[in-house]
Amino acid sequence: MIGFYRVLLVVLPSAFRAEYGSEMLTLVRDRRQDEPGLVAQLRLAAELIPDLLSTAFREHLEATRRDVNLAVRSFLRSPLDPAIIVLTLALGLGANVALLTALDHVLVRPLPFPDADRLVQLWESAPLRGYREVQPSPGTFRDWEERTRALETLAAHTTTEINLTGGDGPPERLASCREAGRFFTLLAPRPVLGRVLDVGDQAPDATPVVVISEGLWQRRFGGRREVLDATLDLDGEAHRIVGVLPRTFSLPHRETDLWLPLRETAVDWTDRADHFLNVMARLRPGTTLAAAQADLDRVSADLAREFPETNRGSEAFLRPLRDEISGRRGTSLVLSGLAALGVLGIAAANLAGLSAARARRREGELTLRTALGAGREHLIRQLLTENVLLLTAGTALGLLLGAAALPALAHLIPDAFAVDDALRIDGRILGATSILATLTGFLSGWWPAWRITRRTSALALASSDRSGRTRSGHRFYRGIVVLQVAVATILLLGTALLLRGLATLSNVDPGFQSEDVLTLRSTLAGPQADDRVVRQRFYDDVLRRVRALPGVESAGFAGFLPFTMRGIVWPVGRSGDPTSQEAPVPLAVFREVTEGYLETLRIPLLDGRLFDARDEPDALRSAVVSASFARRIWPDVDPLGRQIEFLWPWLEGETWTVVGVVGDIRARALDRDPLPQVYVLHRQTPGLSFHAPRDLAVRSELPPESLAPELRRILGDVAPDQPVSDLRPLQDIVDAETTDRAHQAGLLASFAALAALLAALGVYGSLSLAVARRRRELGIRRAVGASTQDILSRVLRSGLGSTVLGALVGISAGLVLAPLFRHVVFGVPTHDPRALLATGGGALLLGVLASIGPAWRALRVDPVEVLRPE
Amino acid sequence: MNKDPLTPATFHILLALADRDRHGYAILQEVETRTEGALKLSPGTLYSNLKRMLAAGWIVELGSALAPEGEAARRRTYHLTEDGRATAEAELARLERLVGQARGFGLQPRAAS
Repeated sequence: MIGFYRVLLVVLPSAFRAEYGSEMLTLVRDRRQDEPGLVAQLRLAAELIPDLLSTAFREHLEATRRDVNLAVRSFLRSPLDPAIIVLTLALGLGANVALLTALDHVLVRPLPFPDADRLVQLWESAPLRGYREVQPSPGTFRDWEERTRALETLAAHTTTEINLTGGDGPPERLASCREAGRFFTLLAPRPVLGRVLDVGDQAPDATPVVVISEGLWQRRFGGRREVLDATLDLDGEAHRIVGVLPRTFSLPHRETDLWLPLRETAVDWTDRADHFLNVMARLRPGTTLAAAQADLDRVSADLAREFPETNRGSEAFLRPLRDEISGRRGTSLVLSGLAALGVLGIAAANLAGLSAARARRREGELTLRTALGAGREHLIRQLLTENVLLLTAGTALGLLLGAAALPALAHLIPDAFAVDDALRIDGRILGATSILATLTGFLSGWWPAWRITRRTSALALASSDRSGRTRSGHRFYRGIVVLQVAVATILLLGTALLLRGLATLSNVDPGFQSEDVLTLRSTLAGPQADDRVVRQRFYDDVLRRVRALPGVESAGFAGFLPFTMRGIVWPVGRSGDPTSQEAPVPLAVFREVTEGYLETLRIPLLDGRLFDARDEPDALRSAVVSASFARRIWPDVDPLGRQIEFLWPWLEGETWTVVGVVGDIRARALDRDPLPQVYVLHRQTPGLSFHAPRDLAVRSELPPESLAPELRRILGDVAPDQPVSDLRPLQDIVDAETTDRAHQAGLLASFAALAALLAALGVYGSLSLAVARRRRELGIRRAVGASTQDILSRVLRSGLGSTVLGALVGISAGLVLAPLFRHVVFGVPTHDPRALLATGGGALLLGVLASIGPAWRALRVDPVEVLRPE
Repeated sequence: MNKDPLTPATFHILLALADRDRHGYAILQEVETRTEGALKLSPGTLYSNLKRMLAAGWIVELGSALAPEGEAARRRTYHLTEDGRATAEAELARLERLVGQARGFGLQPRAAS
């Protein structure tokens, strides 16, 4: 009993225990003597133990409160150090919090659909037409539905834009999704109102229905519940609203506002040659990706045998839906994540240095207190309290900064996740941050503190001895500074490369002139859309009026402006020339245009002519091709007058005659290898309403603010029920091509700047310490006549020494790592000399700036004061 | 001067030291006797209170500087200071006022059963 109590005394704070521990034990002994007997003993124990625990708790709390007070007062006395520590921690942690959240969404979090890990996306190849990987055709989709054994639910959809007219509000053009198969069974969103679509809605005789987005519901219908069963006029056809989908459902795109069924009758489901569907599916439980692929291969083999004209050599692929959605963002995020960790590492190193310096400065005080009997536990406890306070403040501030930075990263969140959802720091991120913070705090605060108190205890017993022990510590500390500079240099190099890549990309010649061109999109809808004559009348009307506007130089329509459509790449061949089956089929970007378009974009004419009045609807079909196309198809001959064919079954036998050759443009993307282009005139092209021109381009010296209302007016006059969308200068479209990379570079640049700042602080701190430590030596040198230059060169050599070493290490490491991120940098080699030069220069500047303060102080050391007897 | 009411434990410790100096166990016994068993102080409570009263200056320790090692050293004696006496008296006054006010409302002390 007594022994037990004595052992239990350990829960008390050491000071209290030292004071009163033995008395308490005596007391217990006395009471035990007074109350013998087992029952009394048990009663005693039941009384003593809770008393001990509650006393211990109260005393610990009391001690902590005292320590916190002391800590806060010491911070207020010299606020600079604690402020730097808190800020450093906050910046390092904040960056990581933001990135962890983004990374979580792109790589870790499951997609917000049921059994998301079993969701896949399917593609097929069409070697007969030269496609290595292409969207599946309707026929293939039906084949998969009927024949696969490994997939349990299949869904197909295609995205399109639909005109909404009538009702309250102006006509709008809305991003829409037409779904076939079991789209909503697969993704199972819970509607805010009403129901989702099902297979029954795809039946030929089903009532046309539509499901709208929550955004559209609020915007156009004010969130009224009566929206159900209301009718919308979509592309001229009445549709009944049967449901509203929540904002959190953002497949296929965040902007999607309408979901409609893809009717049985709207598509030829035996067509195995038209590739336009997005196909997703869920694997049967327990089926691996490999097994499903094997199953698909089996089906592909069967189809190739049964339908050789379309499917010979065709294969199918499937990939996890998650990978499809995250896409390229994964790599750039990992890059940023590493950068953030680097910043945190530098911050932690700085903190270690600062804490050690602070502790060393208080060495005298701590030594005295140890000598006077303050237990080591007490000192550790106090230093610990200070560090915990700083850590907590830094973490809290860091979380705030991180949360504030999240909107800037919103563009990195894939479409499938609703943005609102993403902009919250959730529990796991908080947990991960706390772990990071604790690790950082431990490495940078507590460990040095622990070592210091051990030293002070030893010092209290021995006489003060400064020399030996500090030298290895000094070397260690310098090593840390070199490491800090190295990490900062790596980040600087990365930034320099990204910026060079950005500059190179911005300088890529798109092949056309984008200044002074205003564009917009407007499509006929409904049954009119399918009539070529009606469409042409619309174009003619609009163009006539637009060209009549003063200040307008030229105007024309095209199917799709550059950079707005990555697809519509068609197989083209020489007419009358039996296309060899083995040769790779030439692919070209196919665009339907009206007269005036090529002139508006100032695409240079190299041979022959552009489209003009000679190209009547029923005359010989004309085509204008790009120079690379002509070179490819007719390498040694003049292409003018020769004929081409598009290798689609529905265009069999139709030929186009080349009347002109123009310069190549980058039609699909600025950073992709350009494919050759073929332009045809709308009024001569049969059918194909999807490719019919919808984008209007107008070249004019008028500023957009004056031209835009005029264009709207003209379109409103010619086609009042047709929405006008995407009214913007062509230059904006071109600039948007560099936006992603600009964001990336900006992100990395901020990290690099942060890292450089922190590393500079590290160099500054280390150099300050060195100067402080060598004051006597410097004073003596001064006294015996060392010049200003001499002192300066000593200090600078010390400071720049670490910097140069760190920079060299950093650049070498960067050169080794850079090839891993090669495809993130555009167009420059990873050892680009300008980038390397800039990086080296930056690192040197860092070192020089950091050395100024300490150098100044070194120069002002007064030899008299230093040499005075201590 | 302490304006807040004292805890029962604190007050009784002050009372126990009012007539003579005592060591820990003696305080404990005195309090238990005086309150007829109602307040039994445990070691933890006792010493944390003593610590607080020492810090407030209401009591002092009588160090046994010349005492030999062993028994006596482990029994530190406590002595009530003038401040401590004043505090106890102020608390007494407060309690009396309270009792007076209660009587004014027509309440009478009920005998303990």
